[in-house]
Amino acid sequence: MPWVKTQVTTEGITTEVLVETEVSLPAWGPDAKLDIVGQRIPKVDARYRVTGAAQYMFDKQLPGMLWAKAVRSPYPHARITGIDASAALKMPGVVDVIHIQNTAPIAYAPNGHVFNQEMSFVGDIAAVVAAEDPRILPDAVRAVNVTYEQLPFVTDLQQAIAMDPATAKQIFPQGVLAPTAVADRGDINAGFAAADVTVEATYLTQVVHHTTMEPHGCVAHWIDGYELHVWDTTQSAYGTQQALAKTFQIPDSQVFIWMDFMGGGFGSKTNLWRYHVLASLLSKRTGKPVHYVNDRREELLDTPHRPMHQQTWRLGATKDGQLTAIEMKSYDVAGAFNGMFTNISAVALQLYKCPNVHTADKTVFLNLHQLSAMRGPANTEAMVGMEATMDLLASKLNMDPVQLRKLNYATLDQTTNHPYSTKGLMDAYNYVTQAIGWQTNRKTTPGSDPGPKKRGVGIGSQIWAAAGGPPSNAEVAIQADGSITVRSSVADLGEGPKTILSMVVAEELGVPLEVVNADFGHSDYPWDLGTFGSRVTPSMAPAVRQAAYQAKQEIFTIAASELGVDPSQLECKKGVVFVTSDPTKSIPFAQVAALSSHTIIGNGWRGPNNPNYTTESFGAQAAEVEVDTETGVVTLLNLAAAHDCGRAINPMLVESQIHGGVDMAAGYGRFEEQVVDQRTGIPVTTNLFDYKIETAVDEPVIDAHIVENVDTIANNTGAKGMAEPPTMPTAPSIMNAVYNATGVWVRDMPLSPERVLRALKAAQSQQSA
Amino acid sequence: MRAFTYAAPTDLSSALTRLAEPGTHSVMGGGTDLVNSMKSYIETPADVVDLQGVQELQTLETSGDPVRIGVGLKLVDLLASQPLMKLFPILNDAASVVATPQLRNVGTVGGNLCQRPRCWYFRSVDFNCLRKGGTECYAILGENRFNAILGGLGCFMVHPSDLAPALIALNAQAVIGSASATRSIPLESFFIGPDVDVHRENVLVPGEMIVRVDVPRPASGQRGVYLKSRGRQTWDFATTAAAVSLVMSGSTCTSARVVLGGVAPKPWRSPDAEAALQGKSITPAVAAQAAAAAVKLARPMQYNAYKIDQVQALIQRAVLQAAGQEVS
Amino acid sequence: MAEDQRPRKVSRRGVIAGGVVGVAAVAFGGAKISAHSAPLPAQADVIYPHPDMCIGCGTCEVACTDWHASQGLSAQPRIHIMRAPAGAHVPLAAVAPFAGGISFQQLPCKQCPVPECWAVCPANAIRIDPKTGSRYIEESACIDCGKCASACPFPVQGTEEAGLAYVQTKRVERDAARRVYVKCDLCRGRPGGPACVEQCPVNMDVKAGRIHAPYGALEVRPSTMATYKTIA
Repeated sequence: MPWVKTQVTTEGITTEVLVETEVSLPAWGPDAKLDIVGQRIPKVDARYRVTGAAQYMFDKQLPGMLWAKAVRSPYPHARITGIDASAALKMPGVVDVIHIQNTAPIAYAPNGHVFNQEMSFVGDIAAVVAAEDPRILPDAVRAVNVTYEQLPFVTDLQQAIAMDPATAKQIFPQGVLAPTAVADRGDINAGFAAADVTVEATYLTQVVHHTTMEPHGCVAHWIDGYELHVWDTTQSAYGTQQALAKTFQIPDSQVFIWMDFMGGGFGSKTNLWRYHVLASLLSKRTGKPVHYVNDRREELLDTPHRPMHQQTWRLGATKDGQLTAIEMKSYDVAGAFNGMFTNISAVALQLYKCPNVHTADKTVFLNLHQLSAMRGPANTEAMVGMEATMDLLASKLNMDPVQLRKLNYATLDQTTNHPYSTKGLMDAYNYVTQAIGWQTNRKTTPGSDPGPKKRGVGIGSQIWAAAGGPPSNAEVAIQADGSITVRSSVADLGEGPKTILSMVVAEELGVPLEVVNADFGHSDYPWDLGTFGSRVTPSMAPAVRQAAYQAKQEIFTIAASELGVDPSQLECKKGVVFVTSDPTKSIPFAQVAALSSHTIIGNGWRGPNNPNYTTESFGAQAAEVEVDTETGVVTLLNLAAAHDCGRAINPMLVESQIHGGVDMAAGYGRFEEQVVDQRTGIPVTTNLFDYKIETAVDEPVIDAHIVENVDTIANNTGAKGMAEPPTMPTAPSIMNAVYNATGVWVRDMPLSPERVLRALKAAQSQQSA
Repeated sequence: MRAFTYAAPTDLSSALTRLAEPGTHSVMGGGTDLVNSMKSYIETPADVVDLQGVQELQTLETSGDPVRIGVGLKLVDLLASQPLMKLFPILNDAASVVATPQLRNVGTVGGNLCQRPRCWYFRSVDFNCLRKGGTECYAILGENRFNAILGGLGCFMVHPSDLAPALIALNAQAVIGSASATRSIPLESFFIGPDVDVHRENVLVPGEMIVRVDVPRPASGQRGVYLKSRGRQTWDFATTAAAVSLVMSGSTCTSARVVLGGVAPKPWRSPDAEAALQGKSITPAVAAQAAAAAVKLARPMQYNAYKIDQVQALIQRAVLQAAGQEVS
Repeated sequence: MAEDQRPRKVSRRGVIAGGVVGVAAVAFGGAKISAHSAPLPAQADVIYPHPDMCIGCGTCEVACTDWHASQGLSAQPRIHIMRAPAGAHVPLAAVAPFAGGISFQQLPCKQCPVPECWAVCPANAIRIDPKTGSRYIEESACIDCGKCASACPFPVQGTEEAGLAYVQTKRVERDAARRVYVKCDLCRGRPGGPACVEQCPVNMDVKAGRIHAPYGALEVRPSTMATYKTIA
């Protein structure tokens, strides 16, 4: 097939890719008669996960394996003045200690090198110990004597904003504030001039951690000069393979990343991390496999997180509610090093119809671990400011918040002027308002419930790039007994690609789902860019479908000769190949497979996206809360979520993503935050008690609804991405519901009891003042 | 954790004898606090004495006066005892909001009373705080949203036990055993604040352990309520809590005991709140007065002033509920 | 230097009655003053509190307790937090957030240039440290008579914090358990000087530049006739 250049947008970032166009297959439209796709089927690997049979990276045991642990900086900014590992090396079972003084520099972005003279955050790595038994490690790590010269540091956003440049340069060579990144549409000043009503508010959205159930780490076995084998927990085996090969300047073909099961990523496992390099290096030095895994404190210190932002939003509208101006200015905290997704301008530019938009993003550097993408990066945070300010505008206009949103509904992508391939946001609004009882449960006067416990409802929306796109590749191999293996480097983080992609293959081939086995996560399989950005379903579903289709052609060729017909006369259903016009002429699929003298392998790849359309997922959520205005406790009573995901290949798994996303985001809205002791620069929430994740008991009753808008412009399976969208509207809907319940805005996240009480008290004293 | 020796005695006498031996010992009830503390090097005993096999510590006598509660009883055992829960509904309130069902299945009464603080500076290996032997309380000028508004001195942790305020409101006695002697003191006096000793939370000296809690049978008209406010609805310690035990004669309170949790380094008895209730007919206004009296000398830190309002709300509600009045 | 030419009595009381001023620091042992011996040292250091910087945390008290206990001395704190009478001190803006709007004061011994307590002690238990000039009580010599406490002319003002075990009534106080009297001794013998000054968190933050203020909550200053009268 011809190769073309195409643009692909993932997580708000657009890149240009050279890609082969895919084989044209009939699209599965809304009326397509499908046997398996569209069914509610539990995850094919669920039983292995819940019974403990699943093997994760941690479970990898190899003969002679060593265990590794890092020696970490206790200071937020310090220069190493000495490293003495002699005491540690004398301990029985300690085999090696590596650090800057005994290793050649290895370039590692963005920290500079794997080992640096300067420590940039508490938990930064000064050395790594390898020992024969993991129980030796805590004492061995303590026995490595590192001396530091403390340097000026900053971990407080306000301090960084106010810091004079000379002091700032003592901390970071680039200072603490990056130049502002600006985006404009129309004329913002004219927009505000044309407004009858203007509102403005500032929000502080906090750092939250991915807290994957499975911690970060890998087992590396480097047979020097031969191959480097890594058992990993990664969202991109292919990306890690390439990065690791480049780091050590060995050919990609010598590096193997393997993964069977993974316990969550949420965007924290998309990169090459230092432990990949350190474990590999130790393995090379010692000649033994090396097992490196973070404990929970290290997870909360030395892995990335969703960044903190201080967002100031200003909206201008006519008295009828038409938006004339959207302005967003945000300080985006990167941490000690820059990363992607500090810029949160997309929501302002895309969600609502508005001719004049101005966004200004300023990255801030603090002595903390750097950020990374976290489930719906940028949009999840920006949605808080956008949606709460829309409700502020609605209240000033004396207008229903949903009405305001519908009035400013964007029918096309205002950044490209392309129409949306599908947009089910209107249906989503209608569903959730009905489900939450908007008319009856919303307080027309916020805070009007008598008594200390006050109820209210609020709404939130969501937009997210959901087209997927290349590169995504797969192969479908038909075994001699007719069972099927689907292979790709794509990762199943636990959310179910193994299931849905097996379903697509089974559907395309016409075989029962049970005979399909998905083998994913290995870098030596056809590569997929990675599991992030909600891209797997829309990228891989067409790819595996094509692979299945290609394999099916060979089956038909063989079957055709057996049956004495032309291959074009054949179809396959329920594992039987038959002549469409005369089904009595048939042959079992498995029998055909047995006849083949070579392994039947079909290759599939994802072709370019349609350049004339923008494909996004859309959704809305409505929350009903009860606020105890005397204790500050916000109870989430009900939450209705409606998400437009194109076709739901497996509605059960789509609902699972909705539940999971809402649960995560309910924590973002109410409990979770990284707290840093500003005097020392040390985070205090370094365990899973003090870092407060929501529990099952805290979760509301969730009404999860799929707005099915089969989108065959997006790709021939009609499915859009749905992994991250459910995380975006929840916190805004809670913030808006709390306003509706109390009449007071709490704009400092999370909406924990002490923040709610503080806001209520401040409002009270303002009133009496 | 530091290497340690381990003993699992099957009778109390052996346990006490072992505790009297030189060296540092920690007793273990269910281990739900001790094991974590040992992993964080907060507790570094040379010897751990596991009490789970000591039957004498697990007896529960509900028919006599006082009611005797063995410290080895698990929280789930307390909750499962209908006679006990009927005698003291306040204990049902308190025990049922401790931690999670899993932890209640393993954690003991003694462990709950003797647990170490939850102040995140105390719990973190990255801070050597004053209580742990360092020179600085990091909460004073640091992240103190969960710290004390009463009774802090040098150290501002809050005592995390739910059972303690409820038992003190019931006028319980702590029976302390050692190899040489047994003594009984009011549970209220069992706990000490940093004004007495900043490094420990109770009066136990090496060789001693609490063996039993004795609770006087309730008087006629005695009603108690324990209310706890926290962020999450489970697995969270109290940001503030109120234990109120009233002896009511009609709508008049003839005697009151008010003990606060989550506000001070030890369970905080409030004589001023009690005085505002004693002899009064309980109304919302009287309850509010008692609440205000309880916090009159509260001293907020930079981020915990909300506790002053929050605990007042709990006191008011607990008083009204204990007085038999429904609260919205 | 004004001098009294009358023959002096042997008692210390007489020295004070004689109104000796401006004398230099001299080492003292347990010996009484003789008529012609070196005069009483007036130059001493004193804990100089700044109540408008005090946040009432009590670290000074705990630090004092811990240090003295470690030296085998009475662990009763010799510095204590009281709530200042309303309006007496307003917390400086730099510490107002930490003080919660309430003002506190610390009322340790003022290390008087001419101490009354020293004069009345019948047991030579109150002595002068040659290094800092601190007026300290030698516990082994103290006979628990209480004359020092009665003689101290400086009251203790303010309100006690609720429910604390130690209640301060005077600048020099009795430790009933040990049966000695106790007062600030400027942590005599402690490297780094007084524990309260070193461990005060406000002092630490002022020193580190985290709090911007002209002074800390506790300082060590010379106790002159002028200085010590300005201390609360």
